[in-house]
Parts: sequence; C-alpha cells; structure tokens
Amino acid sequence: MPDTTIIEASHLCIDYRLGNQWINVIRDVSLQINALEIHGLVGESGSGKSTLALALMHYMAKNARVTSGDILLDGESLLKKSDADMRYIWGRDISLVPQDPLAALNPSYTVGNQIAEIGMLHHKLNNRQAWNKAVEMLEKVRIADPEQVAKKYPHQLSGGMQQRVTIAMALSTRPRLLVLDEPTTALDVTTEATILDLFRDLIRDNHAAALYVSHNLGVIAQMCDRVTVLYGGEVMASAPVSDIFSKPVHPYTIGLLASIPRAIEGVETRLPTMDGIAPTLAERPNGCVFAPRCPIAISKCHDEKPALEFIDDGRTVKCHRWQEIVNGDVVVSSASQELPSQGLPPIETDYVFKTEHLFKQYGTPTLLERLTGKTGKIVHAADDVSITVRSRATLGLVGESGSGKTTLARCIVGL
Amino acid sequence: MPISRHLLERPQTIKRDLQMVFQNPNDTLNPYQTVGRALERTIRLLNTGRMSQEQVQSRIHELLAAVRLPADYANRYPTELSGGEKQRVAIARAFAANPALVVADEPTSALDVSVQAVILNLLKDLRAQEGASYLFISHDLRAVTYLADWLIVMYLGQIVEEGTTTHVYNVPSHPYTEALISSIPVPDPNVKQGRIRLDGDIPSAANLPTGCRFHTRCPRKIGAICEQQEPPWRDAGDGHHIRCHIPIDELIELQSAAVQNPSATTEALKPTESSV
Repeated sequence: MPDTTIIEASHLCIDYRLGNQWINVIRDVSLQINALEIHGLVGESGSGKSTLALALMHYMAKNARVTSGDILLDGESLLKKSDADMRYIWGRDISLVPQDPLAALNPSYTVGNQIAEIGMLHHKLNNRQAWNKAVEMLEKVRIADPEQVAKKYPHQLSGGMQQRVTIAMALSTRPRLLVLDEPTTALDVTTEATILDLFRDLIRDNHAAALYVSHNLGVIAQMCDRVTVLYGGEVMASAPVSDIFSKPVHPYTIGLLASIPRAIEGVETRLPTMDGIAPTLAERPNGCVFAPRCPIAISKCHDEKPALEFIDDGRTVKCHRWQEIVNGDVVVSSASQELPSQGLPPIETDYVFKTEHLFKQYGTPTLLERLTGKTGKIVHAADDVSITVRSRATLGLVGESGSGKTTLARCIVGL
Repeated sequence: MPISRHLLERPQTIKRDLQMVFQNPNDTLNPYQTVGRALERTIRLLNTGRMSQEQVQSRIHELLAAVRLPADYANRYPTELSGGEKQRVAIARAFAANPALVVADEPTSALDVSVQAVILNLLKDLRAQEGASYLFISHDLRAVTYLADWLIVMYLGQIVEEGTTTHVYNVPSHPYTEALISSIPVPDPNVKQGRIRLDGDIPSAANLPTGCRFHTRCPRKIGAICEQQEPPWRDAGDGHHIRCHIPIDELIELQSAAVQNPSATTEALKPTESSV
C-alpha cells in the first residue's frame, strides 16, 4: 500500500485574528503525503511552516480559522470533526514530535508513566500492561536499559534521550501521520544523526507518512522524498527532493541553496545572500510575495500574483518567469563572490591571543575531602588547553555540548 | 602579555581587546536602550581618550554601516529588530572599540539559513576591514569551516585534534572528528550521509573516563590500552596534532579505506588489536 494517500490538504487558507481584524497567514496551500513518504517543509521563520504543520493535524490556535479548503485524513475531512473526535484522532492516527522535548514532557511524571498513559487511554490496557508496553516502546527507540529509564523524570535525561521519549510517545499508537516539527534542531550533530536514522526505520516499520518541518537543508536532503518550499504563507515550489536540490527553478529556492556555507580551499569567498527580510504577516505584498527580495523581479511580479503552475508531472512552481529560468534565458545569480586570499601569517611570530595549559574546574574540594584524599564532585571543564589565535585569522572550535567550548570562551573574556 | 583571570581585575585596554558575541541575540541587548545608546555606551566606556559627541555619533554611524544597517536604526529599540538585525547590532557593539580578538559563541545557530549567510559574510568582511581575529565556536561544522583557517576539536574539556581546517577535515583525523564529520547531513540528496554513529551521550565531566576520554564511545577503540593509558599527542605534520593511541599511518590507512567504502557502518570500523 505504498501509494495510498494518507493526508491531503487542498487549497487551504488560514487566517489569524489580530486585534479585531483577520489576517491571512496561509494562502491556497495544497499538498498530499502518501504512506511511507517523508514530505519536507522548508521556509524561514515566519513563513508559516509550523502553522501549516499544526493545521494538517487540525490543531490550531484559538485565534486561527480555516477560511477555505479542506484537510483529508484517509479520505475523511478533519475540519468537520468535533473536538472530542479530534482528541481521539490525535492520540491514535496523528502524532507530533515537537522541537523542544523538555517543554512537551510533563516534569512531574516519570517518562514511563507518561507513555503508559497513552496505552491506557487508547488501547484500554491495565496498569501493568501499559507499563510493559511503555518499556517496550523505549526499547524500540533504542534506549539502552529501558526499564531504568522508564522510572526517571524528564529532567534526569539528556536532550537526545528526551527526544527519544517523545518519539516513543508519538509512535506508541502506530499513527498514520507523523508531524515532525524541527525535531532535531536543539540536538548535537552526533545525536541528530542517530535520531534521523531512527525516524527512517520507524516510519518504514509503521507504514506511516511524515511531514518533516525544518530549516536545515542538509537534514531535508537526507530525509525527505518530496519537498515543499514555503514563503510568506504561500507555496513557492514543490518537487521530488533530487529535483529541488539539483535543478531548483524558483529564485527563492535557488537563493536558499546558494546560501549554504561551503568552504573552498585557498579562496576567500562571500556567500551569495538575499537582500531584505521575510515579509511580516501584516505587510504581505500584493503581487508575488517574494518579489521585494527577488533578484529577477519585473514590474509584473510586483503587480500581479503568479499562479502555481506545473513544470512537469511532479514539480510545481509559483513564479511569473519560471519558463525563462528553465530555458536558461534568465540566470538567477547564485555564484559565490571570490576574493583573493591573503594567506596566513606564521604561527610563532604573529599572534594576538594565547592560552597556555589552561585548567578550569568547577567546585573546590572541602577540607574534609582534601584530608581524606577524596576529590568529591570536581568538574573538569577544561584540562590543559593551549590555544593560539593568529592575527587576522579565525580559530574554529568544535565539539558537542559538554565538551567545554563555552567554558573556554568565558575564561578568555573573563566571565 | 599575561592577563588576569577575572574581568574586574583586567585593565580597560584588555577589556577592549577581548570582545564577545553571544549565541542568542535576544538576550544580549538591553530592551530599554536604543541601538545607538547601546553602541554609545560601549564606545565611551572602552575608548581611551576623550571623544566629543560628534565623534561618538560618527563612530555609531560607521559601525551601523559596517554591519549593513541604515543609520536611523540608532533610534530603534531591540524589540523593533529581527533576530538577524539584533545579531548585527551585537556584532557592531563587539567592534565598537577596535578589538583584537572577538570570541563568537555560536553566533549563527539561532538564525535562519539566509540570515546565517549574511552574518557569516559580515564576519569575514569585518575581519578584513578591522583586522580583528576570531575565536569562532560552533557545533555547525559547515559554518566553522567556512570561516576558520585553523580548527580545534574539543572533547570533555580536552583538545583532541588541531590543525588547519583542511587537515582536520581530511584524512587522517581523530576518531571523534571523523564521527562528527560523518554525522553532518549533506545538503545533497545524491550524496549519502556518513554511516559512523556515536553511541550514547557524552560522559559527565565530573566523572571522567580513565585512559582516553573518548574510549567509551570510540568506534575505533583498539583495546585495553585505550581504557588505561592517556593517549599521546601525535604529530601529523604542519602543526596538525591528534590525541590518539592509533599511530598516524594506521589512521590514514583505516580512514582512507572508510572514505572509499562509505557504506561501512560503525561495527566494521573497529580495527583488531593485533593490527596495532
């Protein structure tokens, strides 16, 4: 059943009430996600990504309303459901993995109890069964020693573990649709990689469909099958992931891809950037929403809204000039600006800052601890760190959270 | 020149020379001060010698122009600015008194991709114009390599590798660096992400592992030696150093093989103890 459509939004428009007027936030957005498909949603902050993602769950703020369009889950309209029906659907058919796991978990229940609650509500399990099911779910999200972890409170777990718990909660009812709202943004790159692997496996095992919201284009490229680019509440382009990255058509997509930092050896480059900032809700332009920042905008773009057109079978674009771009008549400049590199001064002679054998510990041993030879709770935040920063150069410092990067920075500026 | 550890004991010139840009621009600006006032305060406090009101004003405009903000932004309050604009003001403030070193702690992590590019360009331009140096801290290896010429990789408070950006990014590297690079999601759907994964979380700094600090998670752990002895600071040439028990030649061999066979998973990486 890979080709069955799980969720479909058609010509969806959403308004927000601000003061006593309604302001359009999402304009005429259509998308559909099939089983086993991961659909990426890309856009800047304020583009309406999260509003759209939550609207697909029919989960909206009190001051929001759907003015037209429809949302179908397995062919049934969600907009006609009552709140009571929706609560049932949220538990059973649609799950959300949020950006900040700590905000999503209840601090006063153990994680095991929080997962077990879902089993008791939706599967009518008794306490014992629900607890066992919770432990089983923790094992599924590859938590080592799930029985111990189930007894812990959220604050006792690391960010990666907390996110695994929210994933276990989201999957414990075998949902049809998973909404992933920037689920790895708050995590370290190493943790992110393991969580992404986990998503891939779990979506396949559950035959689910997923909407993946992110502004990290690397994650989108690695995870998604299709991508929809959102700007100012409108779809700018939608295509299979390989087309979006290898032959972007919309000037906004081209600009976004060009602004990913990449270093070229021995060459000083400047990244191509888009001027200006995304429009706020209240001041959406009349013509194309991207026109004020578009490098190839013509007067028509400022006056008239372009329609969403099909380039070919799987690709849509909303741009007056897409045919010229595809034919190569117009080029959206996306090359990095190159500047001559000055080379580096030698390390021994020319430095502005140097630390030699820097040690930083938190917590000092008490007299008793010193007498008994026990070291107690001493945190070694930096051990024998020697760094040299050369003039006119940049020293990069990398590592996971907890590696001592920020401690070192604070020592240097004297905080 | 040696400097004191605490800010209060440091002379004004040192404070001027060392400036910092923080991760979250929303928390670093005083909401009750206009942008101009915030800059003026830093200029007056840190510049040696008296400055007239005109000189201060012209310096404010110069700084705003350097971070590509219109001059009338001096009259705005932080709430009237977007995240990217706030970060530009924070950068302008760090440059207010011609610092020698700017410590930037994750300055682009809280920003959108397109804004991130603007800030990275700005940092490069300011480095060329003002002749400052940066200590650029980030967990985003892409942003770091774009800006840095020299890289330091830290694990549990210890430097495990250092060298030029190119050296660190290519073979040989410390197994930890290798895992970090492998974890980066590549923004190209046709290039598969590396397959090396680190199990578990970083151990607590209050309870450091014995021997090599990375041995509890190391995909290339060679055996008991990693648990018992501190690894040597090996020299890989041109100032490139790696803190690992595996000799440099061996690392080159192991990691070149992994580059040619990127589908190799974490399990296949482990060298046998006899091979070392």
